[in-house]
Formats: sequence, structure tokens, C-alpha cells
Amino acid sequence: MRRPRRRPSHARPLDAPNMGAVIGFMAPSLIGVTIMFLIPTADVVRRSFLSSMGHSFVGLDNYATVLTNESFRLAMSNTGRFLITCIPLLLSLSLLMALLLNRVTWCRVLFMTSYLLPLAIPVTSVVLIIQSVFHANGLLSALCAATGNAPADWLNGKSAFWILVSCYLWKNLGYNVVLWMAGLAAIPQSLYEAARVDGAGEWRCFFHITMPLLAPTLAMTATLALVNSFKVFREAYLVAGQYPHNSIYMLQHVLSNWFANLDMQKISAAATLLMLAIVLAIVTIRRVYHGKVGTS
Amino acid sequence: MDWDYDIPDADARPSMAMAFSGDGSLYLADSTGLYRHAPDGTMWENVMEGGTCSLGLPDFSVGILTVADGEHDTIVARGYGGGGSGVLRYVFDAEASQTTGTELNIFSLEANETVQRAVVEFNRSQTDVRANYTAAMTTGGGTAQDYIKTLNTELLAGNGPDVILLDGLPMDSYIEKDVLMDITAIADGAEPILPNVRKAYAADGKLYGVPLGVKAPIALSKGDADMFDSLGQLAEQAEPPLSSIAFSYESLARWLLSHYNEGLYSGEPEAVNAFMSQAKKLSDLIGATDRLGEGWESGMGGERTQQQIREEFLRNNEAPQYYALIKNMATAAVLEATSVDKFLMASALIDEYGVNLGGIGNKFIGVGLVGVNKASANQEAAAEFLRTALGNNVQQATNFRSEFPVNEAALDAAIEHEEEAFGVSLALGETESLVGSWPTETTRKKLKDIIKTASVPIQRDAVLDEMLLPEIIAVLDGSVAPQAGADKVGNLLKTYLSE
Repeated sequence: MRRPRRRPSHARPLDAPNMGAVIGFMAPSLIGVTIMFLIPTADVVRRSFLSSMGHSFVGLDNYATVLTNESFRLAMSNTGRFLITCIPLLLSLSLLMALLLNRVTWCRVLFMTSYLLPLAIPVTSVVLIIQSVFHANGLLSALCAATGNAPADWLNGKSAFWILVSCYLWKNLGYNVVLWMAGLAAIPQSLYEAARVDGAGEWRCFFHITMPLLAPTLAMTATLALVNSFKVFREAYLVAGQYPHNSIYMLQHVLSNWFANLDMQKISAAATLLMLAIVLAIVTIRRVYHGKVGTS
Repeated sequence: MDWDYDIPDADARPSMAMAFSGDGSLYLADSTGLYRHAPDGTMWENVMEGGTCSLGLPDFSVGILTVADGEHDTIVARGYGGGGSGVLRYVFDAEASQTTGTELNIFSLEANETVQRAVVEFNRSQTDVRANYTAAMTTGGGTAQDYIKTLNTELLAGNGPDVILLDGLPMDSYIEKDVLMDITAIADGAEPILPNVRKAYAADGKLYGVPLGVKAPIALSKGDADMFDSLGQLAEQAEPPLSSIAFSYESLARWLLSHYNEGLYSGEPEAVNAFMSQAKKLSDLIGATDRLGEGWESGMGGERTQQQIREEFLRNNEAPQYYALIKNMATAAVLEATSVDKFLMASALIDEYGVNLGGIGNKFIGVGLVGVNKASANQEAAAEFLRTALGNNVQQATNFRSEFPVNEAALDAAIEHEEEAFGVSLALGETESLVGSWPTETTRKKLKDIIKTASVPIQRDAVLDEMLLPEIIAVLDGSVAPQAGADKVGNLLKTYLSE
């Protein structure tokens, strides 16, 4: 049976005078979020039930059109494949690096700074690096030719997907390492000491102390990794244009191309579906996290 | 350096004239208008906008400016335009309105000379409405996609320009989304346009866009020009010898994408396979290579490097094609006929070398496709602008332009017009040259027939062309087999067409 939560002693119930102050302080932010986010979101959902120029109500026709559209399906499967590949890789690699860095006592700041540098590099510079290395006449092809292998157009083949994955990992690894480091720093060392006194080894400490106490950090980094994964479209678009290789044809490509063709009805329906999917994912993450907190 | 007067954007003003008035004011005139700089002032005052007077005509360049003193300055400008020269005189009118009640906004991606001329003509004839023309890609640094998305944002908000030039824009999508107004009645009320052009652009009996000019893709052939009707016929009947100086793999691929793209754009596997195999066959027959311009004597047209020649021929390969025809290095040449005055060399080939003139597959290229925004609050003014653009005044000023008029009477006048003292020559070596003069009546009539019987407008999709070009070049140069190239193109098309 779950124990009821007790309100901390310093908390007071909100009464009328306090409520006014609360609303007053929150109003600017609430107004901004309402105007810049809630109203546009509601408008997108509204448009998803109308024709392109908003002249007539079409019910669920737009959703049917989007879900049966081959390009949308291709983009969804590519995006899903990208998420399933990148997020676990990013979380596990960044956690591993954070655990290693946690044991380093010298030059730790230097290491952390170097991990964060990719995040500070502008997107256009990243694109230039990608093109100079992976272009058909780039460094990698030159290396292949020098070693007797056949050069290839890496950005227009199956390797394009893995190039994008590598770019995403390279850019976001450092940021997640810092978040993990903050989570690790919050774990009391006394727990590890007590565990070692009881004869616990490294793996047992990791699975029974570190991981459970890193659950909040895991929830946060997973959410941020999910959100950041959609930003990789910038590199994909700048490197390969509106119609890249099929393996990196993402959701944002199809939405961007639909906008150029004034297919606002399809964009609205697709955006609504995407929003529902992301909300579902985040709610799931949060429920798993709360589930872990409840049982711990 | 301290200049006495600072001219803003001087590099963007290729042709301008200046003069002082009696009171020490400096006047400057160019295509953007007339400007005045007060004696002790620091800024230029825009006295008259170019779009409201003849200064703004696309083919007018001002040569000399003088200012006659009086109660108000009288500006006299001597300039050149429309194949001749003349004098313009501007006087101050105290009753002329500085502002107009209504503004008519006209939008295009690229600048169009006929529209510029129509804007000037419209503004000169209207006192209550001012037409403002924006050619997006000449003013900003963005890509076509950026401007299309900006335009779409305005259209979705129920705003947007009143008149839209649909070249490079998704016209079919605009028609489907009910963005464009039915301009059938406007076209009926304007000067008659070529019936074949009007019919080609009608959808379910309605017109949503009409071109302001046409170009005619033509073939000059030593054999039967009918072989150009389809790519299949061309691949079967085209004869060697070689034409390597005129066509590279890239220029041939671009030409094929321009003129024989219907099957390819459909995305159907059989049509794509046929295109690739026929393109490869044609490329082998005519001897396209990646050595564009090789064999072109560097003395012709001045000393140039091979790279410079290659870049020039990628832009315009008419001269090497004529050379190849004359020297029996080719059996045909292809070009786009845009006006009678630019047909002089082709005419010389027809008259002196007995080359046959023919169209390519009954096709034409509509230029300056103009439509009206259905959400426009100035539909009457937009209709009047369209009638002005299709009217005789604008369409007949065409002999030295980059497309034929779409107005039937103006086309007839352009074809019948004769210039006696007009000729050009093309150097064919150190001692030989080809001299072109005004086309004969027979040649001009044949050209008119080609334009008036063409029934298929060539549709071009710049995005699709850039996507497919590398794959087609790979097939033409033999690095990829036609079937493999067709499969790759099919995959690219599948994604694009399924959107």
C-alpha cells in the first residue's frame, strides 16, 4: 500500500491574497506562452480539420491523406529509426563518459570543456566539416583512393544515415555528459561507502545505488535527447537539400516541402499527430520515472 | 576619399546621367528614377520614381541629362531604348498628387522585362492606382525556396500580392487551393492573345494564368527537322558526325530535361527507362563529351582559356553549334527563338547553307506566367494591369526583347517588321566568318507558323531538374548503366511525386 505524501511543514495552503500574487508574477510568462505557443498550437489543430486555405471543414480527411501518404510514411519511419538508434546510444555513451570522467581528478574541466565545444560550433560550420569530409571528392574519398579502395558519395548513399547519427552524437554528447555529471554529484558518497562496507562490488553499486538515484536525471536527459533529435534536420537540410537520400529524409523535410506547395492542411494534420506522439512519449517517460520513485 | 556628392549603390546603377541646375542642385537620372541633391544638402530626394515614367522602361538607358532653368526646373533626358533614341522632358506639376489612394502589388521571383514595361505603362495611365513591382530574388540574398515560403505565408494569412508571376511557383497547387482568380473574363476583355497559348493554359475551360511572352524551341537541321518531335525519334534518326564542341554531358542533360521531360516527370518506370536509354543513345550518336569547347579556335571572340570557353558554352552554346554545322561537324543545331532580331545567325544558316527550320515537338515556352490573387482587395486594378500587360502598347515594344509577344497582333507586327541596316557576324576562324542579316520574309513566316501551331507548353521544375541532373549525367558519360540510372531516378521521383 502506498503511503500518502505528507506536505512539507514549511508549505502553506494557497489563500486568496497569495493566489493574486502568484497569478501576478506568473502573468507575463503565461501571457507569452499563451500567445506564442498555446494559441498557435490550437490554430494548427483547428486547421488540421479544414481545407488548405481554411475555407471548408473536411473532418478527418487530412489525417487520412497524411497517414496514407508514402512520403510521410517514409519520413516517419526514418525519424523513428533515427530516434530508436540515437537516443539509447546517446544516453548510454554519455553516461559511460560521465562515469569515467567522475573518476578523473586531473584536467576534468579541460575534458568537460572539450566535450561541450561541438555544441558551440555553428550549424553552418558543422555542415562545412561534414561536406569536406564526406563529399564524393572529400577527405574520406581521398583516403579511400589513397589506400586502394573505391571512393564513394557518402552523403548520397546508405552511409548518409550513419553520418547523421554520428553528427548528432558528436554534437550532443557533451551536453548530456554535463547533465549526468550533475546527477552523479548529487548522489551521497556515504551510500557507496556503506555499500562497500557491506561487501558490494562496483556493478552492484552501479545497479542498486547509481542507476536508481539517477532516475530523475535519466528522465530529463531522455526528454532533452528526444527534443534535440529533431534539430538534426538543420544539418541534414543544409548538407543534402530538400530531397536528400531516402535514408535521411526526415519528417521536417516533408513538412518543409509541403509548405512550399501550400499544403497547410497536411502540415497541420502531420504536426498534430507528431505532437500527440511526442506528448505520449514524454508522459510515458514521466510515468516510468514516477513509478520508479514510488517503488524506491 | 571625401566626395562632393555620395551616390548610394553606385555599382548597381550601370547607366545614369547627372546635371546641375541654376541654383546648384544636382539631378541624377537612371532606371530607378530622378533624384535631386540640394546644394548644401546631405541626402538625395527622389523627385520621380522610375516605375512611373519612361526612365523605368527595361530597355531604356539615359545618356545625357540637362536642366533648363525657369520658375521650376525642366528636366530633359536624352536616352536610348526600343532600338532607337529620343528625348524625354519632365516639368514640375503643382497639382500632381504625391501619393495615390490604392497600391497594386506585383510579385515575381525573377525580374521580368514585360512586367517592368507594363508597370511603367500602367502607372502612366492611372492616377488613382500605383503599381509596385517586387522581383524578390534581385533584391535579397535568399534562395527561391525562402521567397516561396514567405509568399505562401502571406497567402495563407489572406494577404499576399495582388498580381503574381507564377514562373518558378507551384501554380498547380495554387489552382488546387483556390488561391488564383479565374481570369478568363479578363483575358476576353484584353487584346486577343495567341489561341494556341490560351488553349494550352486553360484548365476546365478556365484560365488561371496567362504568359506575357513565348519562346519557341527550334531545330536547324540538315535533314528532316521532324526527328526532333520526340526523344525516341531523335535517338533513332540523329546522325553523326560529332558535335563535341557544342554539347557536354551536362549541357545535353540540361537540354533533354528542358525539352523532353514529360515522360520523366511522370515517374512511370517504362517512361523513365525509355528516357534514360534514348538519352544515352543520343549522347553516343552526337558525341557529347566532357570536353566542352575543345576544338573551338581560341582566336574566335578573343583570347580565352578552355575553362572560360566551357563556362560560356554551358550558358549559351549557339555559336559553337553554328560553327559545328558549317564545318560539317554536326547535322543539326537546337536553340530557343526569342525574337526576330536574335535570329540573324540562324537565318544566315537557313539561307546560305540550306538548313531546315522546324519546331521541337510542337512545344513552346511560356514566359512571365501571370495570375491574380483571389484574396486581392484590388481585383479591378489587377484586371486593368493584366489588360495593360497584354495590350498592344506593351506587347508591341518587343523586337529587341527576350521573348516573342503573346498578343496576336503584336506578334504579327513583330514578324512583319523589317530592319534593313542590321547585321551581325560570327568569326569562324582567322579569315572566315558567317554574316547574319535580317531574316527573310519566308523565314519569318515559318517562325510565326512554328509559334502559332505549338500546342504543348514546356513545364520546367527547377527542383526536380537539379535532383535528376547528376543521375542523367552519370548515364550519359557511361559511369552508370541506363537501367541502373533509371532505377535511381525512379526512387528520387517516387519521393518527390508522392508528396
